[in-house]
Amino acid sequence: MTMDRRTVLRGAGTAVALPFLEAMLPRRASAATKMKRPLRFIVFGEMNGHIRSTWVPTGTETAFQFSETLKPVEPFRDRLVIIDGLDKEASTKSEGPPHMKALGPMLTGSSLQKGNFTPGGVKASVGMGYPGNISVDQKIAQAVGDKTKFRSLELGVQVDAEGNPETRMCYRAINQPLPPENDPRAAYDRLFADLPPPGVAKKAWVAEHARRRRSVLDLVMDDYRRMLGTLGAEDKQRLESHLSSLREIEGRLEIGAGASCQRPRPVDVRGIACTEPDQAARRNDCTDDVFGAIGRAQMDVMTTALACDLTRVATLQWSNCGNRVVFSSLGHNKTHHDLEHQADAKILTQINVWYAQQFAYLMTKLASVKELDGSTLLDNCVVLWCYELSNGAKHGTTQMPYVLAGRAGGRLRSGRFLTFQGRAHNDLLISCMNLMGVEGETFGDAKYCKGPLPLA
Amino acid sequence: MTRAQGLVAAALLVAAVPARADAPPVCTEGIHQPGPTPPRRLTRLEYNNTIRDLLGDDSRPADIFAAEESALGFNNNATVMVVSPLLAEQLMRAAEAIAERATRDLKKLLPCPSVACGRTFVETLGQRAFRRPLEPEERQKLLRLFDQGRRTGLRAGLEAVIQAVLQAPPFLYRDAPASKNDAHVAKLDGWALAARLSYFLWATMPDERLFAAAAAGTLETPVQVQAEARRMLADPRARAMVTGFHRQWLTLDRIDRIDKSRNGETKDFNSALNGLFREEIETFLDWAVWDGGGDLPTMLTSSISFLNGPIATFYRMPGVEGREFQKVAFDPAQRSGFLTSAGMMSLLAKPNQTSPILRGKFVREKLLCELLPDPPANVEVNPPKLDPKLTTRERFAEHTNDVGCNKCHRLIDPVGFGFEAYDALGRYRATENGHALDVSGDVKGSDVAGAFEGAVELTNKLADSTQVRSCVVAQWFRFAYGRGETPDDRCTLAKLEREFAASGLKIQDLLVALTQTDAFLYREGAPR
Repeated sequence: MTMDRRTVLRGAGTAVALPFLEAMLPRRASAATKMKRPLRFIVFGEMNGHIRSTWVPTGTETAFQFSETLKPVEPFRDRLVIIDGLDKEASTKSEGPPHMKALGPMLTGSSLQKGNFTPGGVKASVGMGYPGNISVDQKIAQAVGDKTKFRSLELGVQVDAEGNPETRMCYRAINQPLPPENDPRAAYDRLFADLPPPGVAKKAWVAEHARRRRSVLDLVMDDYRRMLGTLGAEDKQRLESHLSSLREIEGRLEIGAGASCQRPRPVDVRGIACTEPDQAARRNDCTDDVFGAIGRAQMDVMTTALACDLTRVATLQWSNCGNRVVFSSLGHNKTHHDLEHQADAKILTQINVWYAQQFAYLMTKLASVKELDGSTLLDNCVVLWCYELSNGAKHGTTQMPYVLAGRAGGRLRSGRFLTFQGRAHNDLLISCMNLMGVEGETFGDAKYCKGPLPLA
Repeated sequence: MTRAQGLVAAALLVAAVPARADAPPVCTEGIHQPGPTPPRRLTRLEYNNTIRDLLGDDSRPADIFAAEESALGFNNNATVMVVSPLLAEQLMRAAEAIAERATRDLKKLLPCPSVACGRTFVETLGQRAFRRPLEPEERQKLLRLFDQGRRTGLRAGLEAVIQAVLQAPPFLYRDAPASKNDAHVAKLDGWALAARLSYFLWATMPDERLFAAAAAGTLETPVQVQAEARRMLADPRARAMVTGFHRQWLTLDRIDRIDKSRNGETKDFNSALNGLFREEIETFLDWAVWDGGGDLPTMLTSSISFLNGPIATFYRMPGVEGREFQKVAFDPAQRSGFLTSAGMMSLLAKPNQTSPILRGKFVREKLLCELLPDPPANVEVNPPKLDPKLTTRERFAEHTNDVGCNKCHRLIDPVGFGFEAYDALGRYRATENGHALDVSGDVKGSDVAGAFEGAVELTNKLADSTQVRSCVVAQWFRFAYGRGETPDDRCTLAKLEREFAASGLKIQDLLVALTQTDAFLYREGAPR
């Protein structure tokens, strides 16, 4: 990383007002892109369902009209592939409570295993567990994440703290859910931690800092390694997750502490949880103004991390299925989940449009970052926008709505509306892998896979 | 009491046969079955408490950690708790910050600023943090790290050691197997028992007395363990632990999130009541376990409660003012134990109407330990439309009339209908929309099957139920041992149920009994 970071730190004007990170977005991404623009993978996870009649575009593959729901992303038409008709077979065919089996397979392509989560069971084996596969973002991160400070970044917006298959979207391996960071401030601090105090030479400081950490981690990791030998298979799997997490940290001690970016002004939106015990504020915390502000702050953090090449894989999870968000700016007085069950197409479309606006915000941010060759960060992304359900009231998992955005550095032929029949969403996950340069003909439960979709 | 009456035990008994061909068919003296012994990572609560007791640091550093994965209703289930890179990083940064704070004032930390004093500190800290004497290799490694760090200065050496200790497995995990132990089943030594006692009863590391007993070899026998357990129960930390158990078992945290703003009767309900609702239940259960009858029937059926001014206004209970909670007695024909509290009834209701389903399901799952199937995925699960001409019971008739729905709802709804005398806010009512209430019900397929009339009779039946006792034992088992029951635990469960019954269903005796089982006193050995 030889690039003078002062030269890349220029404000990138965007049409959308930003509370904070505006000033620091690099006009050009990291020095790594000088050689080869890295590809980045993003997931935008929307919970609950959509209204099919207001979501599906009309027209043909290349000459299509945007639907009411997708209208807010129309400005990015030539960067989008709208995909209709895929079935989430691994959900439909799974056992388990409706939201657990809808979310678990979303990025893993795999049905739920048996496990310990369903409460009230009389013995461990009767309940349901996590899905039986790594999630696609992590599969990709395994391949492309070894050069950056973070292998991947999991961000959330008021996602329930309590970890179980109904609240977790990303899995580092089977039975290893990744909790998202709900607090944009903490996410920001994490990105830009370990920078030297002002006036101290960075290189020597980072090296000394890394040396001290390494001496501690080496000792600790040796203890975990010894302990593994004394454990049975299941306990071993859990302790291995601890050891590999330490290895993850240790292996990146010297990798750029914000390689090409200066520490920007701190984020000033905190990740307010709906459960914040402050009595007076509680109800407002669950309304869409706060929810949206946190989400946009997280998208700012995400864009910054990708632009600065601190990571190449990032996911954003918008709460979880049973969320308590009330879209009061739309005149609603019931939670999204309650409304979902009332199945009023007009009201639910309003909510889906709100999410489409947030997606447009992310597009705008990604498109505002210029890479050295004149392309934008968005051009070098694969962004997967997925919904938990199709028909929310019926917990439907067939005929799912998906959007891919970005151009995967030219590999993805965008500006299209595609319809598939009799194909499982596993094939879309395979396509995501392939677009990111990860080989493979199957992903998740192989019986649902027919191979990648024709997207290139 | 016969075990077969309890569904929990019965199911385990059936499952035990194919699970282990070599399992002894009866629970015999001298044959010990501890069940699985997974290493248990400290929860956020335990981490905070331990850092406070180990280093006098009460900054609650774990509050910002990623939350525990939780299973079977509890956030200390060792079999699902994993460490993500995010959490590993949080643990590392916490260890660094704690070490920095601890070494800020070396005069406070060390009796003298010499290397010798530093080495003593390292050894003492290691032993207290690992809750047992250091193995020679562990001591050597920590001292080597201290010596390396010391090249930069005494403080750097101590900081490095504290950082390493706070990230090491013997600190973050309890019940880690001893590396040299290859016996299939082993009795725990005094050190391991001290840690089990302290984390179970106090959610923190052992105190000096437990350490001293472990060192002196006087924490070995079940009688010695029992004596320590009794001593520890007298400490306020044990009461806090029991409250924490109730909060998770009965999902009391969810009361904080009750939102009745769509109820329309805002003059009676405001969001300040949420916290008071929870406090009422927690105070009542605390009294029931420690000061009242001390038994399960008191928890389920007492008409005593604790109110302060604002919540008494809600209950229309005269004579209670101010913010302090005080003991009151409800009309025993109207309220009976925690189930009929306004907080519980309000939690198990929709904003604008009661929910016989939520109420029936809660009794089935939390008190009878039954697993109810999910509604079919393609069913729209909205409650029937409000209709002032009908009672809630009448509106829900479809469930009972539809053969498909009725398969499960015959188990749920008739339990919930018994609570119809409590409206959506948890207020007592004699009529609904001017119609007389029908509060008759039945708990079909359980050991309290048969008609009952209203929640007071229901809670009394539950207090007599063997199945409820087995369920309470199972819930405490899961919380105390950090895992679900397995076929190997049937003797432990049988013993607990027997002793719980013999004690007159006293909760404190159940807590002591939990320290006297194979699952507590023994451990499975390393895999061969």
